[in-house]
Amino acid sequence: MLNLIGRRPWLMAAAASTTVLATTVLATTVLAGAVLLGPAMNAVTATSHWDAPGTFKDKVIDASDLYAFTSPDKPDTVTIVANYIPFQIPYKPYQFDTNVQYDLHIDNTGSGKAAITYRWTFRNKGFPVPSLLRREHQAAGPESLVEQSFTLTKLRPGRPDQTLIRDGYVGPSDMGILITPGYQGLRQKAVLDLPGGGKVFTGQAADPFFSDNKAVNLLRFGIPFPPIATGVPMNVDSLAIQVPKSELALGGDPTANPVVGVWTTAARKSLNGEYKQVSRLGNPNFNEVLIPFASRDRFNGMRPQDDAGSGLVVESTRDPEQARTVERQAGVKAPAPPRADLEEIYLTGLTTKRGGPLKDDLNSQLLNRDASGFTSTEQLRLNMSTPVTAKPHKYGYLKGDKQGYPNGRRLTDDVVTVNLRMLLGEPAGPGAPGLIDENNPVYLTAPITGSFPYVALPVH
Amino acid sequence: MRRVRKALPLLGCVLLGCALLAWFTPGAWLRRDEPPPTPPRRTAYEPAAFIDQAQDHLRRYPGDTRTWADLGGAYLEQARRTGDPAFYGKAEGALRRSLPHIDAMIGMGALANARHDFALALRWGTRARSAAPYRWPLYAVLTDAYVELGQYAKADQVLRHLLDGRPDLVSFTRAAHLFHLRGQTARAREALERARDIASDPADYAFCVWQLGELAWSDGDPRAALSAYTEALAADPSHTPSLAAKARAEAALGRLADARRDYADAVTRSPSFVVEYGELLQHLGDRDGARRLYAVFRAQVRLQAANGVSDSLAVGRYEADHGSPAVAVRELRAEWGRRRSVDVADALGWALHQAGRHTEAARYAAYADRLGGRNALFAYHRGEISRALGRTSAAHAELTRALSINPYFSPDGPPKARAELGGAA
Repeated sequence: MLNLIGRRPWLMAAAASTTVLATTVLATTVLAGAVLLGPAMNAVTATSHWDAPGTFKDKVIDASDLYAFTSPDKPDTVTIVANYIPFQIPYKPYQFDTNVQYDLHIDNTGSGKAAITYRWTFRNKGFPVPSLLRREHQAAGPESLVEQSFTLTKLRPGRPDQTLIRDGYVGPSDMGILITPGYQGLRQKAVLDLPGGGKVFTGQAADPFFSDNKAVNLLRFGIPFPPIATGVPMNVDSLAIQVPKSELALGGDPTANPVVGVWTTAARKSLNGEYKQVSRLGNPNFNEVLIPFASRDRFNGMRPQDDAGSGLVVESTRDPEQARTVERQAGVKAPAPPRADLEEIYLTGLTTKRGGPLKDDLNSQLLNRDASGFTSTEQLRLNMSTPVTAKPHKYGYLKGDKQGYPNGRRLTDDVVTVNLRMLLGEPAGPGAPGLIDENNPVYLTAPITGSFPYVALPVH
Repeated sequence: MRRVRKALPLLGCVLLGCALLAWFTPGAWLRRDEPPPTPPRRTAYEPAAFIDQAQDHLRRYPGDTRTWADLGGAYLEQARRTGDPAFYGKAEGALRRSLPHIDAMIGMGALANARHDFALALRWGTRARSAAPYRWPLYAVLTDAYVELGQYAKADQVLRHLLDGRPDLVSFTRAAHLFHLRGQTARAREALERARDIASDPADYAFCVWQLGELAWSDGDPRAALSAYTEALAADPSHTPSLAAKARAEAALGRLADARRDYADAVTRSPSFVVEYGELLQHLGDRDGARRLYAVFRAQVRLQAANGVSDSLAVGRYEADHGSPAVAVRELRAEWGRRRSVDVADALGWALHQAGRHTEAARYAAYADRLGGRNALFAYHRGEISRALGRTSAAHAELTRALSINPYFSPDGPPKARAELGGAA
């Protein structure tokens, strides 16, 4: 209800910052000194009932972005990054929820069922946040005040769970030199080797999201907005993993079965001890743009394997409300429904095998030699055999850069603009490529790095 | 290493000081030691700031129904936080421009709950449920309405659905409330601790800690309660319910000067607490002070009526103790016709008792206990009613129970109960 801005509070960013004291000031200036004067006094709300918050910001389970790409410096591996807890203000401590399972799911058959799930769970080592006010610290070094540890478990159906990392170090919030001195070293400490090859990183990073503000506002809110290109000058917490392609591919064979689908979920323990899925993210913007507002909570609780029978996911993709809103606001035309192109992009992956309008065997699990049980599901699909592009284009596939979004997602892909252009008909038709000026400067707040975990150190 | 050790006490101070001053004050973390952050930083969620932005935005895009719904929600949150019912009218205006947006329906339901029109809240909640059965906040509206209407089984049912779909602060706080009403203190505490641990906003955090304090208080532990209220105020100094509760706990612990100061401060911020402050003053022999506060309460009731808020339960409780029991009975009978919650049953029973109708009173007092809650005031009322009916042993048991649950349940009640128990023994 209170969440005007959703995952990308641009409107909030554009407005002046405020103060926590506003509420107090309001209440006291109205009432101060007047309390015993009767007529001059302000009335108050009824108080003989119990009045709890009806909504709140649940950032800790909010996945803001998901990335999946062939590691440019280690092309036999794939890197997947899921960013949680968006819009972290520098110098403030943030932590993962110790009652949440943070999952990365890999589907190498296209059934919508995860063949592999990497699950992060967390424990507090030093201070749980925001408990600085209420507990003695038992800290070894100052940085452990805000420290958490994680357990990484690999789950595969029909096989015993495998604990990959126990008591792993989580890169803490960068709290400045007093509390977290030598932050570069803490980052290094948080990059851990996985048994059987690969690496994992868990911890704070600069938010790599960036886009063109005009595209963001049109796509998300249907609002024309002055074109301001920007990154996000804030931090996130990243769950990043780099694993050999053979580990993700069906049958361990990335040559015969090169395509995998990826999504991330968070599930929170309810009071009866059961974990309930409360968020889901595959393709960027999918829930906010293609799923109608009233059903977004539902999508967050759904499993991909239930997408096709839901009456929601396929139907909304074929006839997206938001396309009409953008048409109206921007004075452009989108293709008429049913949108077989969007269905192919988001729900099956690009392939010539389903008779879709995009005639390219790019990134559908149907391309896997040994796949069976394929169904329409929303996931971020990556063809691991697409060679790394030497000079990646920010608009990825739309500009002939086949390694770019929607074939997986790299940290440098401007996915919002790409999604907007796809909503308006590209690449199946002419679309409205001029709506967003391709020469607008768009940039990351902090440049990504050349090696795992690629995401930049937290910004100040 | 020695430098680090030397720095540790300093660190502790920095941490604690900053936790208060900076944690909840956006963008100011360790300002002394760090370069000042560059604007604009996004802040913790603040309804007042959001309202400004949304109004700005709506001047340019008046057709944006979603933002109208969000603005209505922000006004509701402002009303909740400041206690100023003028926000209700604004909320309604914004929400009506947004209908039939799903969040506007939910907002209309929350507004009706806040205005104590629980039947209307139920209708809005039900309408929202048919429009968007997966929009979770609607189940909070339904849960609240069912609880206040006294339909506890239905409240359980919708709350279970909410807990399955969206285990979070919204559902955990409501679960805690229902556990508490049933006397399941440990489970209530556990649910509130879960809620507190995921609160991302100082006001929400303060709400959860305050509720933990209320649990301790109603369990007869004013010390634990006091420390919870203090913690809530550290997180959100503007959380007036915690301030009034802190005053109440201080009074229980004999710290009367502190209690008076905090009560005086609390009623300046929000007149909601004038009656309990008045009761303390009356207990301490300051009849004039109490009378003035009661006059404020009566004025407040008239002002509320002008804003479309009626709180028959509060009025009935006040009239039963400090005004006209006949008026109390009239108000509370009307309320009982609208809703059959344990609170209304207790208040009506007490009003009937004060009006001399003890037999009828006993029926309502029994009803108030039907959930098995551990409520010392309810038990005291029941005991007094039994005594009036000449049921000495029942009275003895109820008064003993009241004192064993919480020996500080009101300024006047516990000494009376003790005297009566002494006389009976």
